[in-house]
Amino acid sequence: MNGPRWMLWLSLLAISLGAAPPGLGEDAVFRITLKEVLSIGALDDEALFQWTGVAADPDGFIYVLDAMDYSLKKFDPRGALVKKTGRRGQGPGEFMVPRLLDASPNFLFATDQNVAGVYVFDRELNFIKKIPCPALIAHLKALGDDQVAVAVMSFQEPGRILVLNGEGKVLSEIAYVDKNAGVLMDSISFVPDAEGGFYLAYLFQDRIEKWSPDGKRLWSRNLLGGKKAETKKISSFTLPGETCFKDIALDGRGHVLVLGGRLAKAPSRTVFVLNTEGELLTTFTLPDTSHCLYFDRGHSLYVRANDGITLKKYRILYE
Amino acid sequence: MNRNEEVLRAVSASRAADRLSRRRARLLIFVRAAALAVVSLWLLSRPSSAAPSNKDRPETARGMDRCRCWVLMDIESFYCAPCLEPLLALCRALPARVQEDRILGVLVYEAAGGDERSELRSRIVLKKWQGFRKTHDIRFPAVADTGPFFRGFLKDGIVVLLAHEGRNVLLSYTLPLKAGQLEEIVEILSARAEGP
Repeated sequence: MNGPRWMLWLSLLAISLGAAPPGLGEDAVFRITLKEVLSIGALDDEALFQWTGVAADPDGFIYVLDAMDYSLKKFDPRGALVKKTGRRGQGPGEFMVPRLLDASPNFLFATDQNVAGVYVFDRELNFIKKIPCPALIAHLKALGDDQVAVAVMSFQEPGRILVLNGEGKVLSEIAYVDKNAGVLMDSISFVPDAEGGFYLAYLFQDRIEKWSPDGKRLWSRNLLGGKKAETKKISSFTLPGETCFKDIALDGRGHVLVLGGRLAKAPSRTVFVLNTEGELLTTFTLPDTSHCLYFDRGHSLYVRANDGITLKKYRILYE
Repeated sequence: MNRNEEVLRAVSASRAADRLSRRRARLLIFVRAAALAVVSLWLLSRPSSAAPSNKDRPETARGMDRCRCWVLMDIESFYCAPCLEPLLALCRALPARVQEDRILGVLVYEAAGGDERSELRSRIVLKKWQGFRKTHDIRFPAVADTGPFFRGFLKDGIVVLLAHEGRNVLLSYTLPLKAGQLEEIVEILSARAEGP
């Protein structure tokens, strides 16, 4: 009985969202309300166990990577499981730590955490090929059926965004940091805009940036008052212990949405809404913690709930 | 008292102290093993682990009277491929019957605020375990726990606690196992499983 009660509670909470946070007051340009339209995965089913990546195709089918059973799953627009593929391993179509996912009109692009490459599947979940990549991938976005953008990072070199074609050839590159600021400090999430530029959210720095297609920084903003993430020493490495931001996405109106991390007012729930110049317009709070924000072509928002066993789809209402 | 008597008395006193120390050690081991059994039974009797959706429950109850091995796990370690491999190797080495009858997994997790929130967290942890267990064909059941008892053992990775009745000791192994430890665990558990 507790499961359904919680789900009902979360749904009611989601519907009642919308109050602007105290920090914004009268400066808030508009308010955002979330309306739940779909929920996949509950405490008593076997749909999802720990989803990591989500993507949707033009027909409304939803694809999810699940790290607990090493699978790629396809759900119909109503949330019913249609197909499942993948298993633990390092062969074609297999995963050790499935992580990132995105979709072009005809293909799915997936990553395995410790593999330098992008796995390509068709919409029927058939494994097509692996696009080689020069380093491990921290973030991924599909730019088309034959093109992906990846954020790569290594101990030796500062982070970069690479645009790769289907064979792994580097078509363009943005070096968004001049020098390595420390292990993982250059970790980012990014989202491309329609003009070929990129919005960046630094995971362990209070920095949101916009970069032009030719690799020039157009603006840089702080959203957390310049807070610094605490670091901890593990072996000989100094690693960041707290996240500033977790993900960045564009909604259907051209707003830039940034999911706050541990240092946000509501950790992993506060979403900052910026205009294309990086000005903060408003914020809203997700009903449950999430690690990502994903928008489909119909501008619905997908986020996590129940620590990864539930995927929520919301319609955003602007007031 | 001559020098020899002094030495004899000292040796005798030392032996007595040693016997006392060994008795205390045995008592300590007995107390720890008993505590483990009590905590395990308490975990199994809790409503959160006996929720109707928890498919582990019947197997758990069936096997607990013979359980003498506890596998302490942090669910986060399942996302670390190198951390996971030793656990899978252990499971592959243990026959299904041994796993079902002799082993209880304990999923140690951080408590959330409030009973209701904690119960939800417990069910989430068990749901993840359900997916993981099915994928890897792991046969032993598990319970979720936030208490300090098992957390105290869990420091550097997955821990196997094994009550060795013959030697009257509680053995603790941290994964990855050292050379010979896997064989030792399999031998102890398998030998016992062949009993009544």
